[in-house]
Amino acid sequence: MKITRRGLLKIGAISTSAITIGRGFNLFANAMELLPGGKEVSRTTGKFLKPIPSTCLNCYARCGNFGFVAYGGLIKIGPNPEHPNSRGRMCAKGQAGVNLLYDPDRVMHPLKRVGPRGEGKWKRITWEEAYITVVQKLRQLKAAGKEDEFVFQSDRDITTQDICRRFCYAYGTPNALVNHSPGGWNKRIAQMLTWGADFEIPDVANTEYILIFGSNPFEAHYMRTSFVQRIVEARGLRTEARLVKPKARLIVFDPRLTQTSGRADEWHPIKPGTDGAVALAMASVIMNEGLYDREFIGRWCNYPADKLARYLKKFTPEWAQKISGVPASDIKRIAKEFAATNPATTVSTGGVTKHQNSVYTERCVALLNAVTGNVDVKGGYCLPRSYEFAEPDPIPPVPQRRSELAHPVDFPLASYEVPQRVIPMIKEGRAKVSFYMTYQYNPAYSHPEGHEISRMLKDEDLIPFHVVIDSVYSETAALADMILPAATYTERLELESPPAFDMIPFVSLRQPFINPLGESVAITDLLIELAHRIGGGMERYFNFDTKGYLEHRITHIDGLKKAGGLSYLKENGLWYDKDAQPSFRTYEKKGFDTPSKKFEIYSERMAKYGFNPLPTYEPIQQHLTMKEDELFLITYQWSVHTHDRTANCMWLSEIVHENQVFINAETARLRGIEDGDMVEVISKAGSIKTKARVVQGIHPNVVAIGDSCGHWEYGRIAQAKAFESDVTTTKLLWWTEKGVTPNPIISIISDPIGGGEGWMDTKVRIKKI
Amino acid sequence: MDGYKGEDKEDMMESTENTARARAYEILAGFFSNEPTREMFDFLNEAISCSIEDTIEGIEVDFATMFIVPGNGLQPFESLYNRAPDEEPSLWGKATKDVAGFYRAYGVHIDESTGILPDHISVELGFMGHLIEREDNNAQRRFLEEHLLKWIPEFCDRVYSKANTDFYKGVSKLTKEFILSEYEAIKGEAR
Amino acid sequence: MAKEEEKRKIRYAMLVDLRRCVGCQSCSVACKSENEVPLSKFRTWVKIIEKGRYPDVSRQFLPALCNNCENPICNRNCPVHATYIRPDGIVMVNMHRCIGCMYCMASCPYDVRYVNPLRKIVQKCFWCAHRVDAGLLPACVETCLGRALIFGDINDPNSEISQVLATNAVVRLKPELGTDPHVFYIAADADAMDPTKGIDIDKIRFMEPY
Repeated sequence: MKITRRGLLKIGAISTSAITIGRGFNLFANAMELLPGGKEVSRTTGKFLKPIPSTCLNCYARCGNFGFVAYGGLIKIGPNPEHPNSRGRMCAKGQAGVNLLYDPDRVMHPLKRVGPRGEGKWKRITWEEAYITVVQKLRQLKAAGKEDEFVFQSDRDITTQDICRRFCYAYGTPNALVNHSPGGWNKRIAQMLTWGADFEIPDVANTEYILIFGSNPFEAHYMRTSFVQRIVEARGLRTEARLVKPKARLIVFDPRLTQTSGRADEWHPIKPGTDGAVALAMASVIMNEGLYDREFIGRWCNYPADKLARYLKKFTPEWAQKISGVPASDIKRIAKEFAATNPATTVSTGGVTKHQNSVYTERCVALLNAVTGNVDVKGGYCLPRSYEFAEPDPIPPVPQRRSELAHPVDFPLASYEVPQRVIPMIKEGRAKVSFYMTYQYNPAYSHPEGHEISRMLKDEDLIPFHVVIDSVYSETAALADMILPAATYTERLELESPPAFDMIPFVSLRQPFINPLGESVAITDLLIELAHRIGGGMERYFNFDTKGYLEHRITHIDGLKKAGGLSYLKENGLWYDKDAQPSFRTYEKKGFDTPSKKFEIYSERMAKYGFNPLPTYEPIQQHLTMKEDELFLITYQWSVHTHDRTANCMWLSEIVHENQVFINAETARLRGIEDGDMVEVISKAGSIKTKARVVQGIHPNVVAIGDSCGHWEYGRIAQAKAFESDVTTTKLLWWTEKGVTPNPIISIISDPIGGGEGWMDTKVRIKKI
Repeated sequence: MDGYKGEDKEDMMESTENTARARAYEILAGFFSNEPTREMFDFLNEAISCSIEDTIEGIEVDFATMFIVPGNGLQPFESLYNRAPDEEPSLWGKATKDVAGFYRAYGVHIDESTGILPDHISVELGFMGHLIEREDNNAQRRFLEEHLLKWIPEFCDRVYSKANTDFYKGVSKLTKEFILSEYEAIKGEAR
Repeated sequence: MAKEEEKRKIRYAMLVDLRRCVGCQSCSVACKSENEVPLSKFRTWVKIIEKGRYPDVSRQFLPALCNNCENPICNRNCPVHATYIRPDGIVMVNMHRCIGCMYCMASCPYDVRYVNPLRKIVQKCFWCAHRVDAGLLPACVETCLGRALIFGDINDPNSEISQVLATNAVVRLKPELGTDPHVFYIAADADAMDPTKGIDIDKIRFMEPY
């Protein structure tokens, strides 16, 4: 094609505005609007920053934030001092939300695959075309009575799972796989079975003894920013001159020296997956030395104290020492301290929940709180307090069709899907999928055996049509047939009610700082639009817009309604009952939310399916066949990253972008490995190569690799690709290592009760290369 | 700066040279705002009897691959190119704010609901067309110097080297040459 | 004049209570966001080291930032007098005067200054003077998860910082150089303060020193 300036001007001269040049030309013409009388505005000064109160979602903690907006752009995200949980503090991830919004590699337009799946060839399509394609496929499935072949999967995202579930049920598929994230589910199941709530809130602000099993709240926790500031306070490290408070002791059981264990009063390097044995032995000491809370066990537990003491007798500290490597004397001492100090609480997260014996272990840890009477007391192990949101009528009924994906028969107690098994189950032929839709979900990267998952996602016979809704070009999006651009959390309108640390529940609003960039659409808007287009009766369940939906959801909260409802939230970002006082022992009113209404030390439901109904320790199978040169591989989360959604935030990746394998100095010496050497980490599932980081602070039989790094898609920052290397600016993205993800060498192993992944049950060998 | 005077509009339109220039900018804007349509093809073929050998499909994929699919480094936004060495690669950078300020100063604003960023190449080119219609030579020159010239030639070079179709090789070459020739012309005028 | 006198009485200082620091790097990122600090440069960062031998190991942190010294060296050899001291003690760099000769960087004993890659001028932490002037705390102090950072006027006996200083033992970095640094540390670890000791965990590396 050859046109010169002259030629172009010629075209210009003869063309009229009637000729439409390109589809979007109209968009552009409309986009310009003349204002009367041009005014000069300063481009460098006179910034007017408008604060918009909202709620963070760069991790699950959901802290209060402010977006500062000028010139229609988001300038900065800062903390909201009025927020009862985060109290004006914001972690690195929250601050870096700006990076996520203005990620230069964001998906901003609907895309349709051309060429083979995974080849990376795309064509832009309009939303209209996207909607038509999706609606047509869904209508066809419906007409054929195969609604259940539509499978929707997303990460557990508290805010959007309700609307996604509503969409699926209204359409007629039971396959709303929106309940789990692959990490952390075991704990929830154990908690539900034990006391009916899915998560505990340790009231660390008022406690005097914090006993941590496999948790690292200083770097990573579900409620991290709110949690860590209260731990620091409880540690008596108050700088306010006159405030004197006993310093809470901090005891950590963790195979790895972390920010938390590295600052604790005691760090006990424990063999991974054996926390249950230690907790049981402690409970045994407490019960058999008569240090237990007679009243709580008698009134509120469903197992008598004397019987429990007898049952626990065999779990001696010496027995636990053999299993865990923690000296029996320490176990005894800590058990006594824990029982003697009131209030006290345990904390347990990743290190407990990411094993295949997690449910048992978590129940052992919970037991410690029950036998010492620390359940739901000030400074103890508290039930979560938050508001439930209502669903507007009419509520779609749950489709009655049985679904292996939503309720796998081999995990009767897992209560919902087992996410890491979904795609393998499709492969095994246990479910048929015609239309797979995923939202902000990246199994190709974030799941165990990720490379296998990638292969399955590529298989068009297995998954004939795959639509990804996301704001990033993830490893999974790269294998999709269609990508729909999703709004990030800084552009969405949503309600939240995270558990309150001050024990007074609150509602907080997430509202857009700016309009969604490009053609991005918020998930709620997208699903409402789809429902109306699919029709066939489905639309009557979506008789609202997003704002209307949210208004419906909070109508039952009287105080908020009186204060002004959604408009109050828009103004203030959050609401709570200002007159409310924290109350404790809330179970005294209606009992626990369990079949027996009690704290179930003995679980009838577990007995029913052939599991041990009492807290117990189940050795990890892989441990039993350890060879001399084998080590445990554990994973962990960096303080500045989430598992898989922050890698393209440049301020975060600048701080952490490499995944070295942490190895104990003595272990490394025996293998001739020095700090910085390239090593190969080999498991049954595969091998990866990375640099060795030789340290003192890790159990000698353990190596640790963080998650979050090692992307092969996800944008250029995640891949440490300097931008266009012929320009001087490129050197600003100065790091060249993008790290490696351990997920491909981790086998899919699930806890038979909870269904959650045993992330830390992989045996590896490590050798210098 | 002279304000926009409605009554002068007729006179402006009489200037065919300027009308042609303004249209030319709009056409170039169209090249980058969307994939070409069949009408556009036909029109181009007819108008200057150039032969486009690429298929529509090929051009569409080329367009998406270069300007839409993330990670290819050719997103057509000024702030990704006209960027200080100390500025991080990000949308809505300093250049975006600058250009938004420029529009404001000339009484033009972008409908936010379109979701389009002010420093998208087609918005900038279109704005230049607008300045030509207003016959504001000073502003044209400033906008060229401060924005278009700062990044479009370099951007076009990259498109040229990455494009798989003759169509975009041609478009990028044309755009670059046109912008440079415009600058020569305006400089000449100013003297 | 009277107003000037009044202002002189203020002496801002920063106190870092390392018993409360959790090494979260929130301050580092807040600073980047607030002050548009380019990639590869930090005005404040948290050094994280591992100390000891297995199993007696601990982690130690040390947030590092400009000490805004009372008696700085950096301003003395500036040939164009770009570095100056505000009456409230904050050491500023006048970006219009700075010629990027880096003499100040060579003389700074704390290595907290850097050259902005574009403007070729030297920048550093100035305790968010723009925020302080508007009545706000510096961005890092505002966001600190453990409330380890305390900022305020040490000439005001009622300020939080004065009260904490009065009741706690504090150390400063390299006080022997006579610069009178105004970042105070409570419970700072000797190894963390020594660049040759401990295993550096975080390794926030810099592209180039200058």
